[in-house]
Amino acid sequence: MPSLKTATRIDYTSSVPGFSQLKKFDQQSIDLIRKSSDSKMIVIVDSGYALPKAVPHVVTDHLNLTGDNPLIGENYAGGPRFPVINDIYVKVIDTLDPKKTLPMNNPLGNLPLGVAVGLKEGAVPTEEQLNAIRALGGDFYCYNLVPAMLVAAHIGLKVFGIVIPHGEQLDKDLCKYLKGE
Amino acid sequence: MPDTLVKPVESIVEFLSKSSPRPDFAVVLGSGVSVMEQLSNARTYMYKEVFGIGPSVEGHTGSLTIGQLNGEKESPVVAIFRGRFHLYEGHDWSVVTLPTQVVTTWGVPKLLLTNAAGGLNTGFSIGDLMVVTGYRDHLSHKEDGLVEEITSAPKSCENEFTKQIIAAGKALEGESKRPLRTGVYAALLGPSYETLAEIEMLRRLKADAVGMSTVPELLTAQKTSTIAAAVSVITNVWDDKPMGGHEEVLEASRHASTRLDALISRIVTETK
Repeated sequence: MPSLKTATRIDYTSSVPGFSQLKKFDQQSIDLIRKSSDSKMIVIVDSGYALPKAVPHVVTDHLNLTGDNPLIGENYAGGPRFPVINDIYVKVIDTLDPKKTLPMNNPLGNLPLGVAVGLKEGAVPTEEQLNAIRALGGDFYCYNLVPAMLVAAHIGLKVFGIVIPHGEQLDKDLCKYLKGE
Repeated sequence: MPDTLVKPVESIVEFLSKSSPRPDFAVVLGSGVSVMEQLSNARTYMYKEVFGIGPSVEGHTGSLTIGQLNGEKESPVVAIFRGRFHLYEGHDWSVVTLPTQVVTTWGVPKLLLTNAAGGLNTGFSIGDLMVVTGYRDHLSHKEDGLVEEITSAPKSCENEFTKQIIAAGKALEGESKRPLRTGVYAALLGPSYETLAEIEMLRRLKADAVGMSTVPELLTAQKTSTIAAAVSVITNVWDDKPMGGHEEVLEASRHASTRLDALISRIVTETK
């Protein structure tokens, strides 16, 4: 299993020191991710909305409702034309370093899990639409994580995704842990 | 290949009309599907020659054959489009629907669209044929992406042609020892396959199969005098195990082609 220590790290929340800071998913994100194929894993932190609890969530899977896909167009040679992406998200237990971290001390261990819904930048669902999203299996929505994940999965990276409530910051211990320190 | 190389539909029809009779029946073949390889008095054109561009996807030959079902004088004329253009290749809607526009502009009475699709319905098996009786359009998204689409019900595309296909398929069931399926086809953009959460979402949205094509063509034909229907070849059945990818799709399509060939031959025979 790839290690957090050598993972590429992207932060879309402007709150995680030591991560590559990006404002939103765009060509810069694509270029950065595609330079990272050797790192085997990418940690993506994004702002989330309508989270069931106002705490960071670990992403277990996603629904792409952006109506778009960054892989559309001529295929980038670093990955297959039709990427299989149903086993890409890394589980918390897979981030453990058995040599130095006991499961009970893992700061990620207490975080709730959830299915991220990728929406088009700026789209704000109505309450009725949110209920529909939840009924279809989504737990919260965000704008950057899903397209970034697709680009990463295409070149064979595993993805560890964290979504934090919009406007909030990630706990310092979590930041350190995510950097493999 | 840039879309600027695409020829106008009228000039394509004019070009084909000079060397082939107007077909009674047209078929568009999806990934790995091959049928009607033995048409009589046939002429084959490469897509690049006809449309100005060719498909970029493995499993899509990119050729059009126009010929008769058999050598008899009154035998129906059939057009077989081997391969199609997709939105995930970066083509716009007008290019994706180009073969369909040629069919409708030429006045071909019937159009059968085939595709390779992932099975969502847990009652389906790999290699099943599914007549598309309804669809979900996750391609032509609105300003807010797909949020509006997921709150709507599947749309019906049943017509006299789908009824004819279902009847023909039922008549062949004994021979093939496999039931003909019917169901809702969900068209997604691709090119990535679905996540497990998306599979579950599509099931809750009443979709039976998922693919990356066909709906633009059905919608294009709906506005014309050509009656169109679609048949999906179920190339994998979604469960908790990761799927094998595009090779798995092509392999399953090849295996199902014999039964699809028998089905299409029967329908074409009934056409005239």
